[in-house]
Amino acid sequence: MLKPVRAYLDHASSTPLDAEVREAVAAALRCPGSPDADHPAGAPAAAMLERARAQVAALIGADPEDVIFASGATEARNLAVKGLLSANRTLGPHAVASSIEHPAVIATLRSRMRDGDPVSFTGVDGFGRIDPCALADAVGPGTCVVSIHHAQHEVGTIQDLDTLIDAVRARRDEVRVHVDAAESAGIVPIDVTTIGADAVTISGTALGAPAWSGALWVRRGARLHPLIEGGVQEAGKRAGPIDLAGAVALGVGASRTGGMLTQRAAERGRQTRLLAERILAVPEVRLNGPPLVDRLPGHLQVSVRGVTGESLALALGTRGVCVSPGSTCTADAGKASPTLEAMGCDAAWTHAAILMTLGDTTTDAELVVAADVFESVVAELRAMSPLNP
Amino acid sequence: MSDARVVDALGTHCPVPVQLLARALRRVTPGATVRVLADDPMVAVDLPAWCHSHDHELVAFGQSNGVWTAIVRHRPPLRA
Repeated sequence: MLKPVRAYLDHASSTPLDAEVREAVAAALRCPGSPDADHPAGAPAAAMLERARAQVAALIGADPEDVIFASGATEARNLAVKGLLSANRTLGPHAVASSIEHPAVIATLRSRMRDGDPVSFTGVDGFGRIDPCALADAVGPGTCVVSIHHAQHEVGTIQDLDTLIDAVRARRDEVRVHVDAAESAGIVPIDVTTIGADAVTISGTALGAPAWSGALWVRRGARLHPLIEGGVQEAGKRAGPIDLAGAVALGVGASRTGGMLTQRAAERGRQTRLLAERILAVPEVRLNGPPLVDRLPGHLQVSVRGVTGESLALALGTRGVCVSPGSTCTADAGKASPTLEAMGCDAAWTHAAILMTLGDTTTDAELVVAADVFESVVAELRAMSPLNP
Repeated sequence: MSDARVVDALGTHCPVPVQLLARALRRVTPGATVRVLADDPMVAVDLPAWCHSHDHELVAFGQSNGVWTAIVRHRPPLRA
C-alpha cells in the first residue's frame, strides 16, 4: 500500500507543477499541428513555441533565437559539452571541468577520455567552491571547453562565475565556457549578457515546470554540433519533433519566475533556515557545503554520523517524508557522494548524506513534520546501526 | 545595408544551413536580406546553387577563418 506523503522535500528531482504551468501543458497537448508546419494547423503551435522561447530568453537576458529547447537539463548539458567540443575542434581537444559537476557533465567528459581526448578535473575547497587559480592553471593552448556550474547540485554552493570565467578567459580567451545553471536559474539571477559564457543550461525543476523540460542557451557564433541530426528544428541544433508541452511549461515557468525571483529566493531561504535549525540541532549532524546564508536557497544537504544516507532516506520515506540520499541525481548508485569526497570529507560523512530540497509548494507545517520524523528516525537507526560507535 | 535576420548555422551540416536560410527567407518581406553564418565547407557549393535555383539574390558570399558568410536578398515571386 502506498504511504501518504507528509512532507515532500525532493523538489530538485521533480516538483509539483504550478496550476498555470499545468493549464499551459494541457493547451499545448490540444494543439493538432506541428510548429514546423507551414499550414494553418501548425500556426497555433508555432506561436506557442515562439512565445515560450521568448519567455525563457527573458529570464536569462537572452535573444530568443539563441535558446534551444531540450528534454531536460541532462540533455542540455550533454549538448553543450559534446556539441561545443565537436564543433570547435580547431581550438583543441582538451576539456576542463570542476570535479563536482553534475554527472551529466562528468560522464560526458569521461566518454571523451575513453575516445582519447584529454580532460582535466579541478579541485574544490571544503565548501565546494571551485578554485579559480586551479581552473585557470588547467587551461592550456589545446583547451576547447570549460564546463562549470552556477549552483552545485548536491551541496548548493553558488560559484563566483565572474571570477571563474575571467580567470579562464585570461588564460585563453577563445575557450568555450559552458555554465550549468540548472539548479540556479529561477532561484538566483543569471544574465547571459554579463557572465561571459558561451552556453548556459537551465532546467524546468527550478522553475516549477516538469523535470523533462529544459533548455540550452548558446551564444551566437559559438559553434555547436547537434547531438541529434536530421532536421532544422531548434535552428538545426536539435533535430526531431519538439516537445511542445515541455517547451511551453518551461516558458510559463520562466515567465512566472521573472516576477517572483526575489520573493522566491527570500522565502526559500527562510524555510531552509527553519528546517536547518531543527535538523542541525540533532547531535552529530553536519551541514555539508557553505553556510546557510551563502548557498542556494532551498538546498540543504546534511550528513548524519552512524547511519547511511540510503537507509535514512528509506526510513524517512516509510514515514511519509520524501528526501534524496546524498544527491537526487545519483540516488540509486549506493556510492559515496563524489562531491563530498572532492570536498575532502572522510568516509564517515560521505556515505551518510541526505539531500532535502524545497519548492514553491513547501509549507512550514511540512518542515515541522520532516524535522520531527528526522529526529525520531535518526535515533532509531543509530540504536540499531553497526556504524554507530 | 542592415540585415533583417541572422541565421547562425555554425556547427550544422548541409543541408541544414540551406534549410535554415529557406525558413528565414519565408519569414522576411521581399527585398529584405538574411545573413547566414556556416562552417560546413559544403555550404560553398550548396548555398549559391540553392539561391540560384530559387531566384534569391546572393548579394555577398565569402569565407574567413573557416566561417562562410552569405548575404541573401529575398526576391519577390516572379509574376506571369
